[in-house]
Amino acid sequence: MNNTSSTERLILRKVTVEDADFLLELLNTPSWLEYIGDRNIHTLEAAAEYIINGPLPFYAKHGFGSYCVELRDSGTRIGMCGLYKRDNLNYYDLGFALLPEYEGKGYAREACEFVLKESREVLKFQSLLAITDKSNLRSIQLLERLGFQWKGDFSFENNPEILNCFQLSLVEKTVAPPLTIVITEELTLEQKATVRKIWNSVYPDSLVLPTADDFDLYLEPLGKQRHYLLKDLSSELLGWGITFERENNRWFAMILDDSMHRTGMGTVLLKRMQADQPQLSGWVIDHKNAVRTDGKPYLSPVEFYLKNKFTLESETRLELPTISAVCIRYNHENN
Amino acid sequence: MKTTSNSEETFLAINQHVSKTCPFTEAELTLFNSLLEVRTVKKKTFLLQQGEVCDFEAYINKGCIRSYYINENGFEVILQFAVEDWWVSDIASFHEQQPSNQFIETLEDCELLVLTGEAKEQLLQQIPKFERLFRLMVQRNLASLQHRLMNTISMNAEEKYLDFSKRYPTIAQRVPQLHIASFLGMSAEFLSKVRTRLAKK
Repeated sequence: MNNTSSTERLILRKVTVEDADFLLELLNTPSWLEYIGDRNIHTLEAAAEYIINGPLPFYAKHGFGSYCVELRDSGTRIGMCGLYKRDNLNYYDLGFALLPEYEGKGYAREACEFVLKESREVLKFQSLLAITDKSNLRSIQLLERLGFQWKGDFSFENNPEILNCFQLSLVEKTVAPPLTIVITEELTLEQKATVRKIWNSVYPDSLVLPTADDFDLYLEPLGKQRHYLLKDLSSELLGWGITFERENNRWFAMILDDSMHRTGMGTVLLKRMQADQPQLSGWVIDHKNAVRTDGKPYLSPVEFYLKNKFTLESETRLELPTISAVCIRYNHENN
Repeated sequence: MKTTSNSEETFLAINQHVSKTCPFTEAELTLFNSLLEVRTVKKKTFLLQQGEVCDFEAYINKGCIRSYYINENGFEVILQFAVEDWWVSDIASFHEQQPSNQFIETLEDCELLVLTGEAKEQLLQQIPKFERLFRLMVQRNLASLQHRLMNTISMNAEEKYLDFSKRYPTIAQRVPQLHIASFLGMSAEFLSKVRTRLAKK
């Protein structure tokens, strides 16, 4: 949004360093400490630093974020409401908090409705998530009134606390469920089996890996592997990406389960890998002759990679009996 | 555990709760309230542990509680969840004054109204009408246990989960899924699969 927007009773605007005094108060209210967590901010300086490292770069990068909520009549700052992005979640999530004396007056709902409208109409998001503490009944109730549905339990990587994950779909078509990206240097046997299953169903039949050993043979020569696992809340694997080192370059490959097709999740997984690697190279099939084991044609993903800031290196080709592909490269500095 | 000062609001819910079973006078309710102990308890606190004698029946004003035992394989088996307007106790241990084989643990910060064995005796002597309340409570509890027993025997996993979500619509969001799985007698992974299957239907 621009720097300021208003609703019937509220003003929502971007936070500035001048709001340090207010953030200091908000981040230490009993309900923030109980339901969101102790951010350990006890001085004005720390609060200013929190703003400088949190909301400000977020606005700069995305143009939106979490807003300061004010009463229109008096200009009193009463809370925060807006969108957050967690590295390993597939959609933005809605967050809100008010000072206790302003709870129960419908302000949170009014602010959230503004953010939902912005997400749907301006930002054109397909879906939003919301994460709450299990005992935060008030927030749960508000989310349900806003149309969010409970999707299951969720924990952040560095904290064993079990939380609720809610989801709201902002479009008519079906959207991907809440997904997390888990990064690992080595796959377990079970993960390998699932990845191989997806591989065999979505890649052309010439690339099929008939046995577990075949997959191990593929992985064996790849240096410094980083695996990106796209999982739903019940830990079912729905996508896999890998980056690895070969001849001093970082290479990658990725596949998604068919159910993820056209949900934007390919971009989500790729972006996560791009965030870790300034350069990526890969091979993609650029012709229409490949066929999958189920008889369907294998659709070339060239367009997808061009859309995601890769460039085609037409003269560098891989021509093997099993695959005919062209080289694509991503370079962070060119973007 | 800390005891807090009592206000009228503290007893509002429980007085409505008991008045559903039979009418009480102001004076009777005041006496009843004076016999209750108000306790606020942090989450993840044991109200009762295996081996202790249960000396309370607790009405939940606010919060969520589970009771469970540990089976021969060392796994927690959840017997009951309880939220606002429910009572928790180990009925056998309370009445026989025998050591309990259960754990009763808060899952959220709770506000409880506690009736000790002694207070309950006093209450029943002074206002015999309360016998009816406790009879109905035991009756309801038994019916719910029978229901649970029959479900355990006859329903498949999907039916069990659907029945659970229908009977306890708010609990699924309030407690971790692994607890629900334990209550339904399945592994958390399996419950996840059941929920995914149901979501696709």
